[in-house]
Parts: sequence; structure tokens; C-alpha cells
Amino acid sequence: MDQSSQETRFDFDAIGTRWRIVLHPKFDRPQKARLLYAIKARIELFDKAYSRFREDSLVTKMSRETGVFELPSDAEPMLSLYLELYRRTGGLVTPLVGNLLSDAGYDARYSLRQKKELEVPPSWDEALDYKQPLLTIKRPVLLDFGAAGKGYLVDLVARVLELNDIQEYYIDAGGDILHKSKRPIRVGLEDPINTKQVLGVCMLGTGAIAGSAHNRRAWQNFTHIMNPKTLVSPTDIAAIWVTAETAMLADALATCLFFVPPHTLAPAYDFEYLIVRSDRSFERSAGFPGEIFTQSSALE
Amino acid sequence: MEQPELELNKKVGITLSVIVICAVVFTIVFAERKAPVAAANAGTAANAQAAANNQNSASNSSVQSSGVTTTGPASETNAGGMMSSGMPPADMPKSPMMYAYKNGTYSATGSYMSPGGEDQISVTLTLKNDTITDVSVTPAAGDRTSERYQNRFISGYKQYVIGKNIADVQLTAVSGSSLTPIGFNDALAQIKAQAKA
Repeated sequence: MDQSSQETRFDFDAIGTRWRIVLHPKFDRPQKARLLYAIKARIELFDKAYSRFREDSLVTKMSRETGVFELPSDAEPMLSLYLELYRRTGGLVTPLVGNLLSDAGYDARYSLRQKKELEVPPSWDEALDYKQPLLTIKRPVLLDFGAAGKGYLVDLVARVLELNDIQEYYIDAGGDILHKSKRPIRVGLEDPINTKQVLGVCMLGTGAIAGSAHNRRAWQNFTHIMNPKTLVSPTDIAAIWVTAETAMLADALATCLFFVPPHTLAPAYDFEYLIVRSDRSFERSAGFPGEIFTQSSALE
Repeated sequence: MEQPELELNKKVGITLSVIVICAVVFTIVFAERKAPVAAANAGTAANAQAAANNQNSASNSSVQSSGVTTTGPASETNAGGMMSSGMPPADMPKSPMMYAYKNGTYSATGSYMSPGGEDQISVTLTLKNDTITDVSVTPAAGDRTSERYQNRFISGYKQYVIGKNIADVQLTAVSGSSLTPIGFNDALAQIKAQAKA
């Protein structure tokens, strides 16, 4: 990735965040344009189905009516992961938090003001019945796929690249990174209290890293991470990073770790983690790849 | 008849006591002169023995990798303190065979009974040259009270992060909280402006 003469690079905005894609080889302009078109088309297809921020999306439609809806064919990996995590976290991680987030202010218009009394979201079985490709909405509910959606989309964009015979790439969607290459890259772990600094460096080989923190999307008493049972945003953890084989898993588990301890997920999934608490103490899995900067860094 | 026997017994008793006391005193004095070497050997032996005892008597612990079962804080001082008594100065390079513990990462889970029932706590630590370079303690508390106490215990043994300027660290990329949507930032700015007025 450091031979810039041999690489192609894309920088653009999509799904409300900044994307950077770097890949080998260097394409000529028409090839580059075609590839960018394919990538953006794939993102648009995903966004049109799963975004709760668009008036024309399937998710918005499902929030207004009951009935049986047909989901796109790419829904299965994401919905089944959500169902697993819903069960493993005792319902703390759930796609049914759209109304809660919206009522608290994180709505399609970013009003950032709590509009009404917050309600505990329904349970999965109360609102949904899922059997790919059909999703039955038993009562209107605004689904939010923020926990795993962006990561999944990164994996899907990677598939577009691979379909175009691209074997080495780096996809960064607002800090969720999927990397495939022979040599690892150095990923700085952004310090949530000072974004000009990093509190460590992760050596990322082929695989994904997802970072989750509250510092940017925060308003009034809330952040974009809300506990559906207590109706407040957790405050004890400042930032979490997870590395895993896919961006979807890394993204989803990073959200889970705000609510459940790592050992409840470790038996089922292959991942490494770093949790930084609000008091600046940290906890890392034994295999988390990289160096964390501490007062006693001299030991390394 | 009694009195002479008693007298004799007394004398024998006193003599024996004096002999025993002298023997004890001599042993102590004699032992102390040889103390430096003996104590170090005793220290090493005791350390190894303690380690073996830990492993054997920790009937409630499951050791996840071959290695020493530790109890976190105690082992931290033992690894440094006990080994340094009677051994060459810490700054003299040691050959690998002189270290008491193999480098590596070790994990163990201990169970204990709390008023709320059986609870567990997991400790993972990394040893390098007889020094703990990383320690992680994870609660597995069944109920909230235990979890609170476990968290208090854990927070006493945590390391703390510090930040370094991005410009000073060689990086390919940075991962952090997702950059906010442009709309979100605008909304925040508007609200802040409103709040001022």
C-alpha cells in the first residue's frame, strides 16, 4: 500500500460518513470511474433498503405499516447475526432501537432534541417474525441497523472489489476498516478525548477493525449508543475497538461490548478487543494486535 | 524420699533446658552467618514450592494454558521481590535459564463463593523476563454486588492509557468513533448557537 504509483485511491462521502478505498493495481481513468460507479451503486442499494434516515427506504416503510415484507437477498447474514446477538446480550443489542434513538433526538432530521417520553423497545418476538427473505412486521417499529450495518456494507463493497479481480485492498468507512494484503498496516487508535492523538497502534493484517466511541455523536444526555432497558447511554466506557475476520462482526461486537463483558461473546466468536474506560483504564484481550500507550510503555 | 527425687528432677530439668537453649542459640548464630546464600536458596526453593502449591491447591481454578496459576497482585510483587533477594543485581543481564518463569501469556479462572452464590474471576497476565508486562482481570460475577466488588478490585490493578500526537506516530490510518454525518454536525452547531442566545 505504500507504493502510491501502483495503487488506486478513492475518497468520497456516503451513508453519512467519509470513505477511503485504496487498492492495487493502479487503474486508468475509465477503469477507475467504472469501479467507483460500481462501488457507489452497491452502497446506494444497501442504503435504500436499510437506512432509517431516508424517506424512501424499506426500513422507513416498515416503520409505518404492519405486514409481510420481502428483504433483499443480502439481508440474511446481517439479520441472523442480529438475532444471535440479541439472544446472547439478553436483548441489550437489538435492531429495534430506532424509535428510541429517534425519540431521544437522533432522528432522520438530526433534531437532537428529545421529543417525547422514551419507551422501552418491544422484544424481537413482539414485533418481528423473520424467515429469509420475509420479515413480518407485527407492530410498526423503526429498525436501526447501526450496530452492524456499516461493517456489513464494508464487507459487501469488498466483494465488489473481489468480483473485479482485486486481491489487495483497504476500505475505511469512517474508521471501520477492512484490510486485505500481505503486509500489515499500522492503524492508530484515536483518543476519544483528544482526536489529534492516538492511544495506541493496532497492527492490522488481513482482517477488520471497528472502533466505537461516543465522543462525536453526542447530544444533551445521550449518545448514539443507548441501553434499551435503562433508556440511558452507558457512560463507563469511552471507546472500544474490536478486530475480527469481517467488518460486520467487528462492528457488531464493538457495540455489544458496551453492554456485555467480553467473556460472554468469546466462546461464540473469534475476535480481539480493547476497551478503554472513562477513567482511562483499559482492558485488552491477550491477542489484541498492537501496542497501547501507557505510562509504563517503556516496558515494551 | 520425695524431696531428694524432686531436687534431682529439678536439676536434670534445668540442665537439659540450658543445653537445649544453648543448642538453639548456637544454631541461630551459626545459621545467620551463612544467611545470604542459605536464604537465597531457601527463597528460590520456597518460591518454586509456593508456585507448585498454588498450582496444586487451586482446586477451584482452571488453568487455561500451561503455566503458573497466579493471583494477580501477589504474584506481581513476588516475581519482582522474591527473586531479587540474593540474586545478581537487576540490571545485570540474565541468561534465560536464570528466570523463574517462562515468558508467555497465562490465564486462569478462579471460583469463589460469595453470598450471592458461586462467582468467578479471570486473570490473564503476560510475563516477560520475570516481569508482568500486562495484566487483565475480568469479572464474571453472577450478581451485581459481586460485580461491583470485582470491579473495585480490578480497577486497582489497571494500567491507564495516554495519548500521543498523531504526527509523532507512524500510521497508515486512524480508527475511532465514526465521523459524524455532516448533517449531524450542522445540527449540533445550530443547537449550540441557540443555547447561547
